Amino acid sequence: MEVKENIHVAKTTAFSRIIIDFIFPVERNKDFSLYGNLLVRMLTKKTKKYPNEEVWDSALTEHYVMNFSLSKGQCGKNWFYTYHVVLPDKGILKEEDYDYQKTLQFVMESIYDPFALEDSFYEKEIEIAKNKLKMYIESVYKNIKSYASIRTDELLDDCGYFSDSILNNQEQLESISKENLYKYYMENIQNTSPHVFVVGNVKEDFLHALECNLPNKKLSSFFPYQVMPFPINPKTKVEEECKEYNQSIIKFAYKVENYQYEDMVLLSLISFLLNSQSSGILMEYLRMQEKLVYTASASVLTDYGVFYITAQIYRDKKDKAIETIKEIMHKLEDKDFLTEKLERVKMRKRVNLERQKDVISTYMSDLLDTYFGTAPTFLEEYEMIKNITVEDIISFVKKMHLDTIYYLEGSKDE
Amino acid sequence: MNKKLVHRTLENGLQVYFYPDSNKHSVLIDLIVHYGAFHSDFISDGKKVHMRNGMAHLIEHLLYERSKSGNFRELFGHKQMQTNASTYTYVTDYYVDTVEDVEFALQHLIEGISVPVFTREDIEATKPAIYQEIRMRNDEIGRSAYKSKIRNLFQNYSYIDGLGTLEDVESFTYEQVKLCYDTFYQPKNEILFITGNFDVEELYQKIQEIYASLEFQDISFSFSSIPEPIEVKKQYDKIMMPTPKDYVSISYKLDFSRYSNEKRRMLSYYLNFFLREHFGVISPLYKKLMDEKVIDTLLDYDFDYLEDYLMITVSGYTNDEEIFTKKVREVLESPKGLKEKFFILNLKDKKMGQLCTDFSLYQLSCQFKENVSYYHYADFDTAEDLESLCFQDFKSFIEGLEFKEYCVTKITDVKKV
Repeated sequence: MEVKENIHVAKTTAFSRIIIDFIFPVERNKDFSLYGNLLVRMLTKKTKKYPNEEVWDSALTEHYVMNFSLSKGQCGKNWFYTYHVVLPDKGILKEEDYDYQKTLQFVMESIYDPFALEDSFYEKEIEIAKNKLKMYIESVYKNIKSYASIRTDELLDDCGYFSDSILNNQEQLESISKENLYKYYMENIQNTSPHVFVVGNVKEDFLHALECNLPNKKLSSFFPYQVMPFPINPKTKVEEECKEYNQSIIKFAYKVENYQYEDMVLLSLISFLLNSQSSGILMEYLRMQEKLVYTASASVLTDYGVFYITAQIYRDKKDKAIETIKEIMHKLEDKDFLTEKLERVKMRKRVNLERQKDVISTYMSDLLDTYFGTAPTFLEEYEMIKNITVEDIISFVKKMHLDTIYYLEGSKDE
Repeated sequence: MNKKLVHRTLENGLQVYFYPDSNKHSVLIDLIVHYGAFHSDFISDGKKVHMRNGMAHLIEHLLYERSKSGNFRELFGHKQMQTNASTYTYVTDYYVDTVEDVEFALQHLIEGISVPVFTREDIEATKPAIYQEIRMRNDEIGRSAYKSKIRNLFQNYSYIDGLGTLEDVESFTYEQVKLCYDTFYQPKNEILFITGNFDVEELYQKIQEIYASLEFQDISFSFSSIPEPIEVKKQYDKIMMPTPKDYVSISYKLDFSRYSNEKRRMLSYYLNFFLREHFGVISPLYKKLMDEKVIDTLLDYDFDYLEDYLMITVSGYTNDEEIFTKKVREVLESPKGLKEKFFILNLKDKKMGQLCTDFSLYQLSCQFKENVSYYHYADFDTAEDLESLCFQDFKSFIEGLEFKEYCVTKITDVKKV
């Protein structure tokens, strides 16, 4: 069956659920960085038709909606507001009154008919959302891991790429009015049609019901995906701080020179090499050999070509931890060290392809990545990895420059 | 019993449960030992033993990192398998999830756990990572609140949490570790749970072959019963650590001794429904506390068991500790006003979740472990279980709960003091 151009389907009979992402792309704009974060805290608690949590919660169950949530993510120059909906497969949940048409009508009404007045949200609702957001921001600063991440990113960001983060724009919060927020919602959600992605045992009756209920509005547009590389700093920044935690934490941040979209797979592979149980480099050196950590991890920002290593350590071991991490990174330029590990990681990726067939979010991820051009699919990634050589990795590691070392000492770390 | 679950018992007493699913693309093998964080007091070969906290967890690390076949993470990781181990209140488990080479995983998991090769030096080498883990958890608000709850609700239990303190772990000797290992790591005290895409008979034959080649001691043991009164030890506790706002936790201790394990399993549904109705986003209390700006975010609520006691906990970040505590206590200590319409909705929701959630192999093994651990029920919950629930039973059970003994923990930021 042919469907509307904004509906993208991955049909599979492997699951008992159908998942739907309704995505509204919006241009990233520092001036509106907190607006979306308020909307996600407001828009899925009640609607005009179900104006309090009790009746809304009941309505979800009565319409057989297993999950209805809204999130804000970012990708290149876009923010994505995603309504994520999970429904049971009618073939599995054989309830007589379960009707896709009725359920999808309910879903669309919930998106397009929020709990609001004619031209603004309710004052009380926006106040509650603001308090929740303040609470969230405060909790990010109080948690050792997220605090260390914030501080590292502050040091790292000499281009202003993270300038639209909520942490850098807290002063906006009080000035956001219920009218302005509503206007933002109208422009970016209410007046547009979403890009729709569906995974599950999707048959004609479902697609027909979905099409009937989608509005005929202008499809929201998005910027084609582009990576945003950082320029390289000649000198490594080193920053130390002390706070009242029971442990200490060290973060290394690297920037990739001349980072391009084609480097994404290699960057992710380096992270996988360090983290994966198949090669276990971080755990082998930091935990088993040097007994420095309980846990350590590598992570990446593929949009920006940034690579992190994070280790939670005992403060007396700080110098040893720094030395060991540098040694690990140096080993990534050693052909003998890498050869066997690369082979194992390739086998791991092959095996993971099998595993991922059991995970419904894999299918959704592939759909989204293909459509928005944000990353290769899992299969495409594997095909690329198969051909990566040790020399490719060594050349790539040479392009990774240590930009920042951040150390947070826990004063209660005994 | 769940139709798909196949149960066998080996001659050595090992219980084996198979839960095949030909739609999956891997196999998860989980070796569960009936020895967990709570088990500090026991009788081994006629002798009374008391251990400090954290022994079960230390043994878990030790066997996982220094087995006969080496470090499990390396051994199984190098074969592209996923693996981990965890210590819970009443059990410890070791699992491997593999797409290929199932027999390799089975053989080495069983041998690694069943054939101890650890030395004194191995034990000392294992401790530093645990020290780091303890420090890491001490920065977690939820963990700190949990430890305070256990410490203050119970007068006579040594158990606080699974990790123990730095001093506890430091104190463990080789002889103590060996004693606990020998006592509890016997097939008669273990369950092997296997789920995923495999042939039951083939795997069962392999299991029998593996165990036939191993030797085990047969040590008699029993868990000591520690008398514990209903009265709490301490009613109020304050902890200072980084927190965005004061985090207040109110925990009640209820005598559950009159309920069998099977009954507790069924009553857990009622407890879930009750807590959701009275502390979830639909509850009048949540609305009132939000309206009065006592809270800005959702409440946390849960229930848990320790021996014959049920613990019910309601927590949250709050702007006013006194009002928060008073209102939560009022809800629990007064008549409940339960509504049948919420019961019906909760039941519908549960049914949808049970039928239409695509549980991963790991989630299935966790469900199985929870039933084994808390309810001594080696099976899964089924749709028939839900059908047996009724509003009248729910009402009379909840209204019969006696909310009297409680403790309060307040976590506050060092900067506020």
